[in-house]
Amino acid sequence: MMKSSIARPVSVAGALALSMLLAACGANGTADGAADGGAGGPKVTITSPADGADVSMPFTLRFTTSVPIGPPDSGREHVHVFTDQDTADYTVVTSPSFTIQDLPPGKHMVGVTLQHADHSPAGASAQITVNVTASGGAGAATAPSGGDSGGSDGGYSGYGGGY
Amino acid sequence: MATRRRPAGRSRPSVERNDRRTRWFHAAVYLTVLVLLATGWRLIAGNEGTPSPLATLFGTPDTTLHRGVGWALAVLVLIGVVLGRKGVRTFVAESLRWRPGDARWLARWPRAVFTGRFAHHDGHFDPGQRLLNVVMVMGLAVLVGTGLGLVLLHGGPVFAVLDRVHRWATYVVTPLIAGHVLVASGVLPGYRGVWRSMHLGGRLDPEVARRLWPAWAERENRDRPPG
Repeated sequence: MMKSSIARPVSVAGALALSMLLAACGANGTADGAADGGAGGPKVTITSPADGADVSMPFTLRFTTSVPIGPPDSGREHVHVFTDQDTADYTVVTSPSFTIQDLPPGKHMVGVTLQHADHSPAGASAQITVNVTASGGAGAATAPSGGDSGGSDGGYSGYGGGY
Repeated sequence: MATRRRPAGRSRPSVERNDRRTRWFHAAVYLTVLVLLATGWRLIAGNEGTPSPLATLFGTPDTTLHRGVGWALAVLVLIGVVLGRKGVRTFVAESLRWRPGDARWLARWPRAVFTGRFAHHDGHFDPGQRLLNVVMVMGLAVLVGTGLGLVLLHGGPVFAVLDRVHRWATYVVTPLIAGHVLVASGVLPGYRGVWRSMHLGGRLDPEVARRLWPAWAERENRDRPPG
């Protein structure tokens, strides 16, 4: 008789708890004010619009990074753009400009975080506040620009790393 | 057949196919793998940044969930290999065996899936299971290995290569897992009742055991004391 006994009991609850713990350990940092990866670390800076600027929809967000960015499957860093502190709902951006659409009138925070190719935080982030004076629509969704200055794909959002 | 009478009120005999440790290990692995498949395919489909219901439930982006659960699977595999060495050896030995009659079993398999009339084989696993075990375990090993490489490297040219391998391994493993779930769920007529081998006590109807693993069922019957 052969009875399979591959491992000692490992509870499903334990595995899920472990995964949650690990997920929490790897959670993205938030863009709480401009930050960089420390001395010599990577940097990301929003160059346009200015902090506190009045904007009308849509508007172009421009930023610079101290490291080359590209699609995650190229192994390069990329940027997550999000609005109003919602760091879980973001757009992957792989060029230095990005068109933001559909923010309702009023004050909004726009944040960027530099991410490694594996989507872990690279440690650099920046944020601005803008005052939307005219809106193209409801909601707070961001959408790719389709390519304006500095990039051919202003908002690469179709990536799937699969890891 | 080593059949056991159930406690009072339950009169149908049954035979234990997998012990408790194996069932829990299997359950933990498939739960983590299902989460990884769900989050991984979501990323492949280009939905990164839009939280899935699972990501919303856990309060973390899908990418973070995928990395965290990937680590959990790696730890689980390590625990399984270290603490279940004997079981792993048996699993490997039983999966790698090949008999001349296995080709006949495979030839009859497509019809047997619907009729339940499988050809005889003498293994602990049937020949189809053995092939699946080998390819699926190798595929999962590649996924875990490249996944660890991806999270440890963070980026760079080697990362890009590992990413490609990781993705292609996903393409290979996904249909195998889907097929395994289809068979193991017991919805196919030939495999009716088989789902119990890994769930709810791991006890099978002896008829199901004889239909799917005739020689193993016979050995069970011979080796176990009556009663």
